[in-house]
Amino acid sequence: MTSTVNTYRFKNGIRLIHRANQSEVAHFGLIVHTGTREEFPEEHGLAHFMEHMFFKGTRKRSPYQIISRLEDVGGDVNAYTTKEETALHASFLKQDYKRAMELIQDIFLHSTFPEKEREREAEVILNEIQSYDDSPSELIFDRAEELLFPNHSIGRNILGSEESLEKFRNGALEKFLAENYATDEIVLSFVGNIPFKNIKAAADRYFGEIPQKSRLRKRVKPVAAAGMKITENRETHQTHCMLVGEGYELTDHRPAQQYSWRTGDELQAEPGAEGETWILLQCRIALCSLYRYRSPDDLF
Amino acid sequence: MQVTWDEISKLRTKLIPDARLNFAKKQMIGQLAIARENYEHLMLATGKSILIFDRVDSLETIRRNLDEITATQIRDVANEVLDIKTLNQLIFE
Repeated sequence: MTSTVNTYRFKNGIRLIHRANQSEVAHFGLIVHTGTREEFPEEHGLAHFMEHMFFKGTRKRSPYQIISRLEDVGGDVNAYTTKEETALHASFLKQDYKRAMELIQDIFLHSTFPEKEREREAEVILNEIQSYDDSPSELIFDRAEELLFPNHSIGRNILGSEESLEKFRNGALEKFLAENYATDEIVLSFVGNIPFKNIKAAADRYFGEIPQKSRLRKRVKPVAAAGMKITENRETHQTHCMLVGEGYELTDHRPAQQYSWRTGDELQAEPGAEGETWILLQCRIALCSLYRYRSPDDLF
Repeated sequence: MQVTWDEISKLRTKLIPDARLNFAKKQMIGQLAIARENYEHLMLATGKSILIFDRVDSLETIRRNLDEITATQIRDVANEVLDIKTLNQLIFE
């Protein structure tokens, strides 16, 4: 079990958090406050596309070299995108922490987004979209979000569409990168059996000299729909239903508002484990899954 | 759907018995403690907590917060959030 939590803020605003444990395996991640929500309509899916492209080559590494850098020593590197965050993270033997931190720095700062890889990755994501369309129990979450927040980026799905994926050329990635991923909205997180001073020194070496950068795109508060009832014919054998409505803002720290409605299988009581501003109530009898999305104007 | 609305109606009108509420609190703390043994998850959750709140709550803090919650508060929250007039309904069939 971990105990001490150490934190540090670098000159450029990047924050570091460190938790010590006794494990031989360590974990490191770069989490940035940029996601689908930052996209303009013509950029639908770009934050997720960007996450994929981080693995498609840097100034000094091919895609194969990126993946094999940690695999060669038994570790792995991965990433995910949500509506409001992107994370690049790695798991590895503790002695390889510098290798992992340098790799994540390289893909975050020095990706080249080669054109042929863009086309290939667009195909990969298109397959992902089509696969998703065949899964109504998952698709209903996306449709519910569109229903709740129409005409707002937070209501759009993460993957994008066939039409939008075709538009990610002519500098779209570079523009999105330049206008988002602010240094004061980046957190480096480490859990492992390496002293804080070592992690701080390595983080300083790889991330401390990144020029300070602030957010250029201000987040806009969405307006939630209310009282709508929509039935869609999906020609499925089962019926899927969902109730969705606006909940409490993340900045509402009253315990009852934070925790009391959290029931069923999706326990997300830990602040930050899942933070969102609205709730979804999945209609399964005796099993209610409730999600809370971050405040629409939480930190900005 | 009617069964679901009936359950929501109960949440909005009746108080959860103390024993059931205490059980739910213990279950939540237990699941959180177990989740924290997954260090990859802990790394990501801790990072997100700093990103959003600029702080990390200990399990003890969360336990104290949970202990403060009463059945009346839960009923009030259900009345505020689970309102048939504001909830949207989506059905795939």
